Amino acid sequence: MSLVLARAEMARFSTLYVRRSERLLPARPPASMWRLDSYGDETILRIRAWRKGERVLDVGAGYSLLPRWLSNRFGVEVWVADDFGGEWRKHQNVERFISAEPAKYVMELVGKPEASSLPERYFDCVYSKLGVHFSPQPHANVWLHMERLVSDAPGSELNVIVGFGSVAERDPARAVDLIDEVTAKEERVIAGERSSAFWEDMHASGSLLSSSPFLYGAYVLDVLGARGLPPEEMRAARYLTDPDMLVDPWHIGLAKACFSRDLTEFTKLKFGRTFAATYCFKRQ
Amino acid sequence: MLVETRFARVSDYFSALLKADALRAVLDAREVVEVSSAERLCRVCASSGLTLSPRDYVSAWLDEDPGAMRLDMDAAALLDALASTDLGASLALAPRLRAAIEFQFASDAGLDAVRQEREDSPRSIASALLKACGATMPLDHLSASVACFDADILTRQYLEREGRPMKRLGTLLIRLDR
Repeated sequence: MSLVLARAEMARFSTLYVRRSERLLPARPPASMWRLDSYGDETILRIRAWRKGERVLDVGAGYSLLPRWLSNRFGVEVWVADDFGGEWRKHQNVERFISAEPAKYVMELVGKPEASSLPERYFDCVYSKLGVHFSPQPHANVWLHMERLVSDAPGSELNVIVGFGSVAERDPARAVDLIDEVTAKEERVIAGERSSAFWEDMHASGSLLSSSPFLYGAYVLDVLGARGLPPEEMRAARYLTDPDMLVDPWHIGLAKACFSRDLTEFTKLKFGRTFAATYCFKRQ
Repeated sequence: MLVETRFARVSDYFSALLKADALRAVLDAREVVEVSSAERLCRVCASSGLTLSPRDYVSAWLDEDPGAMRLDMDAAALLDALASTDLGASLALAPRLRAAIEFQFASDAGLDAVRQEREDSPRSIASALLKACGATMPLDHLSASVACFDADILTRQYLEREGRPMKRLGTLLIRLDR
């Protein structure tokens, strides 16, 4: 059974506004209300009609409460795959967190099926909320492994929210030229240039995650052997100029500034923006 | 004559407004809390009302020199006012000026709008204002591209209708000291 791209959208302020108005999830503090994490929770919750007893896998959940909400609200059987590596163990006691959760936690990274204990073709829905983009690129191994975990039953789903940077922020004074370069690559994809050599060249020339959700989506479609193209709103010239795009500001050096106790460190912070795109695949 | 032209930036905001006791408390409390310093700082920012509002920073910057001639308006209002002889005469004579001019990012109208140097672009606004003051300086750093795509530019989203931002606004800061 092949996967088809059933739906794709950029994370938008207006979308989150509408979804939050339904008040299905607990209220958030104002500072985190309009963040991508909030969009991710609201979107995954509504992305499908959850049914009691369904088998669901959250890839890269970390300390997310979404698996708990899905389990409690819909009675689904939730699994989580996450190795809690890197910084994650510094902030919280992982074992204590897991022991209080209804989900089954498998402490591993998705992307190495030959070494994985996750059951293949088992899950009615595999989803990832802002986790995949932390994996080393290219992401073919992650997507192919996620695909193997999705049940063969028609209607089973793979729903992934991916974070993106902005090629324009590399050099704002050359932003228009940089976006034009990405646009030219997008045109080549639309024209049908999608060989493996084409994607190898694309990866060699820079990160797809800072180029465009359109290019990344087309790459994923090819990796999964699915047909079609992502929507136009995912092209660089569109999402980077749309005031309705929901963005997370990020900063380099904030922790260092805090720990230095030197207020002048706060003047050296580097800033950026993260956008997000949602790709919904379905077995046909 | 000293002339300064720049965008209001997030990094300026941090250095100007996060000198509060609250920040010092965050830094000093590092040994006793379990959450990360960044998380703590975000919480302090949220609880103290410092939510990266451009108005907070712009107001503080304007207030730094109470004796200066002060302009605090949006680009359209400034361009209208510059057509008036009164404002032109005042600017020509003012010993000191602080101007905070809010502008809409050209990118809201698409990428082609960024390529143009429109009358209401930050560089054109600064050029017109400095001309009225009898001053000049290179203004390439105020290009529309930088304004639209530099993540460090302090940005306000304007909700023209409920729940949907239709504009992004930045602030151009001009200081003149004869």
